[in-house]
Amino acid sequence: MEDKVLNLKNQALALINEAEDKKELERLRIQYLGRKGEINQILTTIPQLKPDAKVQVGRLVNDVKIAIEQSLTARTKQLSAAPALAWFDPTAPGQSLPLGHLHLISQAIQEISQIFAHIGFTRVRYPEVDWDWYVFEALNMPEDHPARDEWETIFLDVSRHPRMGQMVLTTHTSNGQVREMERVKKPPIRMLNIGKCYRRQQDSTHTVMFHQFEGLVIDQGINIPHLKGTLDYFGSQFFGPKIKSRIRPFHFQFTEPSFEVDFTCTACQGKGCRFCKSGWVEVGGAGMVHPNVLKAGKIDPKVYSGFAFGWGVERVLRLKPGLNIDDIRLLYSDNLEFLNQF
Amino acid sequence: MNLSFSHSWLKDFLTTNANPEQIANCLSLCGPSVESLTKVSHDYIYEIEVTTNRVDCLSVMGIARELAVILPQFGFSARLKNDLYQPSGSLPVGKSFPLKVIVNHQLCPRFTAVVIKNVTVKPSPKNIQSRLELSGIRSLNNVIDISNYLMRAYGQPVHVFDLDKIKSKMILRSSKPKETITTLDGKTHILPGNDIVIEDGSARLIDLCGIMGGLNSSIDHQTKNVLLFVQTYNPANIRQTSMKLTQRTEAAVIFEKSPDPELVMPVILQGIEIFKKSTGGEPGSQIIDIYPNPTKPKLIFPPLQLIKERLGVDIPAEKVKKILSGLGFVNNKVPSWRNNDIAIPEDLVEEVARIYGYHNLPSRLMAGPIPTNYPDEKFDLEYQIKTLLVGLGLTEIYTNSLISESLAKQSGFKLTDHLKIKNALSQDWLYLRRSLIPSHLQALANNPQAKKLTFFEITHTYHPQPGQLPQEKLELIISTKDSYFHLKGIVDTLFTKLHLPVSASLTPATAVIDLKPILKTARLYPQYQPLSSHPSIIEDLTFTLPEKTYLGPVINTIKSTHRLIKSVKLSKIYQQNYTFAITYQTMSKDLSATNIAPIRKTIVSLLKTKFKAKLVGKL
Repeated sequence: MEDKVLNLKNQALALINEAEDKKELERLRIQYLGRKGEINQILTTIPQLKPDAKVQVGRLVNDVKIAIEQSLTARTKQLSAAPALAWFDPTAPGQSLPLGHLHLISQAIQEISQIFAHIGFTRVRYPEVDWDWYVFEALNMPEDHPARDEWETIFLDVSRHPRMGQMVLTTHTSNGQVREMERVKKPPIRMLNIGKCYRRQQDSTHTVMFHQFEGLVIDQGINIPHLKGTLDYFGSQFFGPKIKSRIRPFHFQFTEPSFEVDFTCTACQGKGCRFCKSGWVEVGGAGMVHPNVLKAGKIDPKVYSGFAFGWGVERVLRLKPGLNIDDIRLLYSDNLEFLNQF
Repeated sequence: MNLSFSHSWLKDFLTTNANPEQIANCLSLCGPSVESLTKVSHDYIYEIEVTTNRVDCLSVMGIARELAVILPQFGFSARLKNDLYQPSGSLPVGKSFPLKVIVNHQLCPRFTAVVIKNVTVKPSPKNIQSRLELSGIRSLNNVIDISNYLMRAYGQPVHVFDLDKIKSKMILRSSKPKETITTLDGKTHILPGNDIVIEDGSARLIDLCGIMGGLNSSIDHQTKNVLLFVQTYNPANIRQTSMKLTQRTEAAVIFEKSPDPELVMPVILQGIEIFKKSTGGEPGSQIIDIYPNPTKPKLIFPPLQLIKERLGVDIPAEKVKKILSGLGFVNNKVPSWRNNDIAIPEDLVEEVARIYGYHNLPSRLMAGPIPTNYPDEKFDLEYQIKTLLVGLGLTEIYTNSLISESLAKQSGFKLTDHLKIKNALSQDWLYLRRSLIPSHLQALANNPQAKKLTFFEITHTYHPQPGQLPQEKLELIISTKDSYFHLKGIVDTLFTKLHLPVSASLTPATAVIDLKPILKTARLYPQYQPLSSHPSIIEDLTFTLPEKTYLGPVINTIKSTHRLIKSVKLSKIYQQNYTFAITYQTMSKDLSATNIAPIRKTIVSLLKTKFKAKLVGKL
């Protein structure tokens, strides 16, 4: 008996779920739940059962009735819902929403900051308009030293400071080195100084105003392998996992030894190409901090040593695969055709 | 300075089995950098960048010395030959020097000269000509060519005078301002003063020392007797003169870096030999050598421990000694040609490390303690503000900190209250800006086709402070060609996100925000408001406002009428009619019309009194 009831239920539910329209559902409702419907027919046979069976079957039939009612309601709702579109066009273009543009320089600065933050560097910000003392003299370059020719300095039209010298626009973020030593006072120091620099030169690979990032690490026992490790780490993060660094002899007054830093050419992966010729591309300078610079920052060079590097943000951007910008003056222009690409 | 010479010339000083490509590669890794290597018929030309501290490398011999030490590190055989510092040849005897010489030793630490008599001026032998040409030096005649040849071969500039044009004496002294001299390129210079010059017996200047010789004493086709002249000079004077007169001759560039005075005598002796072979001339006098203060050799001991620490590698003492002696550091003495470059132990670390090879050193990150003394900056928040604005459709732009006079005048600050550049590259970059607005309005105007363009920039403006560095004020500017409604919407959204009241300097097209105080007080998340289970009621009230009524105070007045008012938004404007959507909410009980009616009445009467606002419709 129970089997019969359950079969009825399964049959009813199956037919309800297959119903295509409300007419069909109505027909099924009448068939199963109507005055003369199948449920009522079964109910009429219940008095003939034994007392135990009566209660059980009765309950079961009631449950089945509810199940069929619920199924009918649900299926009715389904068929009343938004009618399926006969046809819709997924290829139609979407709504034009506001699309802003974050400048390439900002993106590069953010990426560089994150890379160095991962190895414990502190990002700082130091003056763009600074005294000669911080920009050159404290960096082992006294006045009239030929080394100053390397940077075409822009001077401010104000009178000299008796101790600090002329007021200039900083030519490099290295003015942050001694300032950071004064701020932190006692090593360890892991500085990342990113800021605007200015030099008196403007052409397709130089702009008067540009950005540099400067790293400075000072602690006990800092040596050349640490610099190499840091450069290799930066190269692999910023340019790609197969990119290595290379240092070659050079000269800066504020480092000893001094290096020129190359990275594997991203265009040819180091094999040699029109862009790099040798497989290596020069990115900037680096070196072990000169003892005179540590002394200027009141740090004892007999106890501590350090390394530093300072490179152009525009320079490393140009070496990002796919970003060989032909004229960096575009970075500081209002040219939307350029700005809107990023 | 960049130096060029041929491979064949290098072979005069270096015996090696390395080929030019290998030489160029090894040199660049361990010494001066080879910028280019060019093949020419049967030879090669090296172009080498020599850093300012290595005056000893501004010559073929200097580079050969480097290679003699470097190449064996790579497994090549290499030996320096014809090292001029190994004395050979004898001093000429004979007549005493024919001119009376008075030298200012401060200006000229070593003065040497010798007469070469009976020269025949004609073209140089072919090999000298080709060597000079391949090095980028024009071959002129056998006499002048010798001076250039010696300079390139040894890094010691040399001058040659026509002896017969010099009258009786040579006085080497400092010039007085406004003295003049015509140099052998035909240019006449009015001297600034403190230049090193030579005056002869007829009271004319015959040489602008260290820079260029005088026309009146120069070699010509009739010259029979030559004065071969080799000196060192005070580098500061040479540099000043050459900069002030913008005469950056190769001689000047070398002299200002203090070449080795010990090189002078070997070079003049070598000069005599070349004169004999190339011009038929013979020494016509003894060599005069005025060298009152010979350089004393400096002592320096290889800092083995420091080398080990800085390289992170234990190089055996023997190897250190071998490297250093190959470079000329013998018996703990600094070789005379490195006198100005080597002073502290770190300088020797560099010598050993570069020859050992930086590429042979390990690479490892620092493992020491990480500093946590952070400055008072909020770089992350600055970046978040940028990405928020980009998300709202703005374009970030970087405009120049340096502006023209006309932009400075548009800033609202007096032109004279701007910091001015002394040596501007262009009139467009003459002042440090005090306002971002003129630059941005210009940038917007330069894009006429983009009608709804909105820019933003976070950067500094520069405000002079007497006796100090200027205040560098960090500002955010939003500038637009779209409506003020759009601009204000961006500003309101930004401050909502920062959970701060709006604080900006506003014009119809620009919003400028002083960022430092904002960064200090901005919050990434607000004070949490527990959810209210009681529904809020939103009602519209429309008022007619008189023309030129500021909306801000009207909205604030409505909001502060009663604490049940949670927010007030301007939802519609039609002519002078403004519709405000007022949200009432309570935490403690459901609101009903009875709660709200009196508040509504108060709003209407307040706005009538304060703003002469008339309610549209009835209460």
